[in-house]
Amino acid sequence: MPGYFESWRRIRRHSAQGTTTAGAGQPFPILLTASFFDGPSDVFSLTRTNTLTRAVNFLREVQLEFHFCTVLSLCSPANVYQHLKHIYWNVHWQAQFQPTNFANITAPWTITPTGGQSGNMANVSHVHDGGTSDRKFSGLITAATAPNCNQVATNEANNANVRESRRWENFLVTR
Amino acid sequence: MGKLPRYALILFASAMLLSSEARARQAVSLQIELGRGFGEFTVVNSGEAVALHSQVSVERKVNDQWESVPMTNLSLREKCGVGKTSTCHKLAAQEILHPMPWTGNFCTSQCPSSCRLDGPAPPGTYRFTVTLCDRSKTFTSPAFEKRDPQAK
Repeated sequence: MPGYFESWRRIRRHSAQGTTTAGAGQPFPILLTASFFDGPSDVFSLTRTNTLTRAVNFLREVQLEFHFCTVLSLCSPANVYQHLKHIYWNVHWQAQFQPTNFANITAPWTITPTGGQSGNMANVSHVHDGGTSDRKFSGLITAATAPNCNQVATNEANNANVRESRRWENFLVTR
Repeated sequence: MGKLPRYALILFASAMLLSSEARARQAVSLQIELGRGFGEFTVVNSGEAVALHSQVSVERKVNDQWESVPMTNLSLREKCGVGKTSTCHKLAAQEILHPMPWTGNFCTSQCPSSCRLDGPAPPGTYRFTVTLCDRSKTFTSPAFEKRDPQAK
């Protein structure tokens, strides 16, 4: 049975959850509050059969970098968006993994954070007015047909770019 | 050899069609029952074999209307770590399915998953919905409450 590690370090609450709803006919100005919460995570199989050697390979290292832009927007009944504020934020995780018992992968593993100071960190930008001008986000955030970030993540997981080797090899994963 | 009049053939064909549709309607007898713990549910097939869509949807009651909740990774799987789930899940006649319970989260909704946006769904009144694989019929569970974990 494959085992799974949740991300070994999670970003906990960025803010409390909750929204305020304006009542029908309520006079302006209306004070609304909105908050944002996210707890991104990822999972990987602890073992994988190498199709070149037919041997079971064990998870050795994981490096993750998630970069986000979160936008606070108003949406009119006519479906017109008005972007009010946005922030950029990111999380980095990097660590090496070593089973304490190769015959029993459910036993605790030794997890060693790697990558230096930038390997494991979280950053949040200042709050910016209006919408983002970054083309990576601006063309997508209100596109009705764009997949959401969890669908993108699921597609990534289901269609991983797999490279195998007959001997131990370090891959440059950015290529 | 006598000939059947055309209207008789049409009547016969219509009757056959209606009776097959009626059989299909009668054959599907499915209930979603809630378990004791939060998020637990079972799918009880008290009719003939049926193909269900593997995706389980969650709806939340807002202003007396049921609204779809943007949920990811909630399906009819009975255990975690079995890879991709197929689009349809066949349920044998009289079979009872015990899917993994809903955790209450939007993305890690049953099992550890690849999630970029995740967190607990807000407190409120919810229900599960399951459809036939061709989406032609929807089955709903009884409503249940998701409480604020900080409330006493």
